Amino acid sequence: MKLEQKLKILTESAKYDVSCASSGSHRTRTKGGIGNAAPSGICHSWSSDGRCVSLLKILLSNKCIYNCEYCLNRSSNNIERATMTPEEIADLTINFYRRNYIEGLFLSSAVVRSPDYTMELIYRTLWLLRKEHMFSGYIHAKLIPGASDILIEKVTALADRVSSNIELPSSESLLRLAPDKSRSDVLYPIKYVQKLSEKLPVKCLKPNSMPNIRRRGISMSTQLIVGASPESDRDILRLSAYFYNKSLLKRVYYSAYVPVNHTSNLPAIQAPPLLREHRLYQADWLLRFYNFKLDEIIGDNASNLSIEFDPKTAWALRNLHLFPIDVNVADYEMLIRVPGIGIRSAQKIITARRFTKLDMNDLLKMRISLKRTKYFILLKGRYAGECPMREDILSHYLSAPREIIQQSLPFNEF
Amino acid sequence: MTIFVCEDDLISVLKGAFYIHETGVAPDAVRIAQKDPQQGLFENIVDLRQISVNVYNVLKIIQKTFSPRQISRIQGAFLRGDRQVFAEIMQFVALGLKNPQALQNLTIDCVRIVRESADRVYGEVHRMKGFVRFARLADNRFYAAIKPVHNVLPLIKNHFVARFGETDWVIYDKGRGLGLFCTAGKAVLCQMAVSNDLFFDRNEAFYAGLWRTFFEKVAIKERENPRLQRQKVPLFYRDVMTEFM
Repeated sequence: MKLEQKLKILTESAKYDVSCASSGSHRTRTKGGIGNAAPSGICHSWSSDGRCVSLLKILLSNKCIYNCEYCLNRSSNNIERATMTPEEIADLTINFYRRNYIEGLFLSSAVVRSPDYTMELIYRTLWLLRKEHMFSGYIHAKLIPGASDILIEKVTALADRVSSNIELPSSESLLRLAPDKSRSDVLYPIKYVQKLSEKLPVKCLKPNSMPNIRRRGISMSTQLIVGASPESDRDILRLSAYFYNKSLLKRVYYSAYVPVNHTSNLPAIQAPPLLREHRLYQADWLLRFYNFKLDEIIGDNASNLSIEFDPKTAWALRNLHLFPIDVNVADYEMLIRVPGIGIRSAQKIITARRFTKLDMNDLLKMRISLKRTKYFILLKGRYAGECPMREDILSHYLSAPREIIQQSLPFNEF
Repeated sequence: MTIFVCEDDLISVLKGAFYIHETGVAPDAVRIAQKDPQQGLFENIVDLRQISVNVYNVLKIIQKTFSPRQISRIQGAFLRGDRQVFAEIMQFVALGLKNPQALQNLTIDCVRIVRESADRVYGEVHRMKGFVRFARLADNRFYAAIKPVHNVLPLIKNHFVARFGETDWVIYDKGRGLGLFCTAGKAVLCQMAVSNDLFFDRNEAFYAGLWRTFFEKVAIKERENPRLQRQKVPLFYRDVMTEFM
């Protein structure tokens, strides 16, 4: 089979893995070699589905021995199969990298023959890149559940990030849709790598980085499919919060289920639940960067996130007793909880208010969006919104675009 | 109306800043001597070309007074190439010479405008680090043509030098006729012209084809979102990007 045909098949098979980041790694070029890794990550293009293309995202092979119901590459599917050799992938990566098409490689694989055999092929590819081509660009490698410790260790040593996809948030769903895999198998590589990580010394992201952006060890991520199984948003976020609290993972990716197979165990949906996926990412951000707790993000009696409002706005509407807050005195922790104020806006406010008492004009000049913010803040002692602070009224103002109604002049009062 | 007339370089802009610092006279507009004709009869012209300064001393004072971050903001805002921003840079630097603390105050117009202008330029610099597309020439050199909005070449130089090491490459800014030449790990910025008949390596079309195949196949049809794609890769950049050609 020609290389182009293999690339076509193996890219098609890899595209449902949503991980695309190339950030968080600081690797410098080795002498005589090529490439480095930029801590901020670099997107090289965006595909027609609006997703960033940063890495050569490809499967080593799509000849899978497993038969997971949600997966395009399941053994019972009648699709074209292909396997690339480690040499072919290494050559392709280097040639794409030299042309600045990509930031590095994202290498995953279906389970060919056995987990160890597959993992060895992945290791061989990474070894060729790092040792033979002296490539110092970004590499994200998939850890195959069931592979032996020594192979996991070797791959981890060569990659910038490793991941193992949990895919389904509960053991029951895993048993039903992926009977060949067990939850402990899927989680094992992550837990094992964390153990390895703990043995490593604390290292800095940049040579002169501040202590608060120092991080420990090996970067790991996973993916959860949203909508292929009946778990609620609370179940999904509980799992993510567990990983973040235990420092097991740097990032959880959520992938709206795209119906690639049709079996009785899978839901019949017309379109992937993209808005639900979006809300989960917003909630995930609140967990990681805004110090929200899981119970704050999802209301007491709810099991799913609000579709109408983003999670921060939904939280603010449930907690109106905490608002309005005075932008000129509120602390950073509270500022970042105001809908419409993000990390950068909060930092701008804190810096600017050292010099002057801020009013609405100042916020607009600093390009802080007041669209939602104004309903939750005081500026120079005055409420910035134009309606009473009641949940039902604010919900109305914050949801659909409002008709602008010219208020009648109060002639009758004269 | 006070008009500062200066050359189109950063030192001239810094000269203006020192003039403001010493005299307290700020410009309403900046005019570039060779490019902009005189417009009004009742203008108070300050010709900065007539003022001589010791460039070494100016740079030394700037380095001493401003943090590295603020210096890169000044540089970034300058590369925006906008006359009105030049006036703001002059005021920003003059303000920093008088009271460095005030440079944190985003409610002051010049502080905000310099920061926003620099953010814009560095935003494009970050974008161009990804959007540059090299092609291998028959002589083994890698060549890329770019069409950025701002003059980003000086700011992407270090990134590509650090990344490609000993590989020889050229990045050509089509709009400005400027080029970055890198040979044996050393890059220089200079004026250049490129002929239309470039001789490419015989494998070039093969790898460009593979990249286009990959780019097409990696998209999920059910998630099509051309609007978002256009927002992220504006059409303006696409005619020099392999996957859109």
